[in-house]
Amino acid sequence: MKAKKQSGTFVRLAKQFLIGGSIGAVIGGGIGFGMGHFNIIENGLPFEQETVISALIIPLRVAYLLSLLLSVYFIVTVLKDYKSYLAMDEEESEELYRQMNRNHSYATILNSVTVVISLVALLLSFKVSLSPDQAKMTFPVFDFIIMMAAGIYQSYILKVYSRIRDIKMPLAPTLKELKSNIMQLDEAELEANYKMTFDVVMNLSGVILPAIYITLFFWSLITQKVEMTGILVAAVIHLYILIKNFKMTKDYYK
Amino acid sequence: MVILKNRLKELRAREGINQTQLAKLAGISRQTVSLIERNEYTPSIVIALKISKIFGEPVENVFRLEEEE
Repeated sequence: MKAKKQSGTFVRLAKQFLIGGSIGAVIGGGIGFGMGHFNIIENGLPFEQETVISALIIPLRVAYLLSLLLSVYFIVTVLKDYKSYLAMDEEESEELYRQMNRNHSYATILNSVTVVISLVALLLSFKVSLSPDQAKMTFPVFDFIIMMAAGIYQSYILKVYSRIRDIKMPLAPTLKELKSNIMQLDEAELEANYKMTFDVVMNLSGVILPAIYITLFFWSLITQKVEMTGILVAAVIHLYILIKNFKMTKDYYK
Repeated sequence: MVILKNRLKELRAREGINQTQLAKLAGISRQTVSLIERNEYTPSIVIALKISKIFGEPVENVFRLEEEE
């Protein structure tokens, strides 16, 4: 088969500038039109932050309840399958073993999604307003209860994992213990984890973080304010990845 | 393309050991044994040698390279 001829550096750069420029022009044009249409410079944004948060809270709550319910469904399926697995002949149980572990993994991921989304809902709704004569606090109890419940349920998920894998694991492991457990995985599991981690890091530094920088840049244009917190958070994550690259270099070229 | 094939299933049947037992002896998980048997994972030399030792066979009698289109 004839190999496709690769384009030169100049052509590639020109293509990238053209694509980037076109996207920038479309987004910039849209923003310019929006700013002019709503007269944002004089009137400010046509919506309040409070309105956006209120609109977000209900979908967030629906999302975390759904992911929690799905996680419970997967764990119930695992427990049912585990009963059948124990009663089954070893040679017949290969597919069931895979299915059980797969469903357990889904339950773990979905429960972590619940924790993250409930935390976001909690942080968005939590409010403390201080004035010289009074202090007012709004605390979203429901989000907090769900977050705590998901945390406790995580220990149960680990207990089920220990049972189906026939291993001993601490039910409330620290981050150090979790890392050490991962390092005890066998080579095929480690390889799957390495692939996933590599993919996450590549997407973070190549797509997600640059997209966040661009979004923050355009958002700063609209609001006429520098989004300092967002920029700093993105930069800290980016620098953390790059600093970790030093460790990789040191470990590999030893 | 060259892929690594093996006789794990046949040798397990000969020795009368199941996947879980082989996994414990080789220090790997049952899922990894299953992946190796289905030619979906290429084990490291250490694991290949360990498995061959469990069956009392030279490594080339357990694992072989095969050309596939």
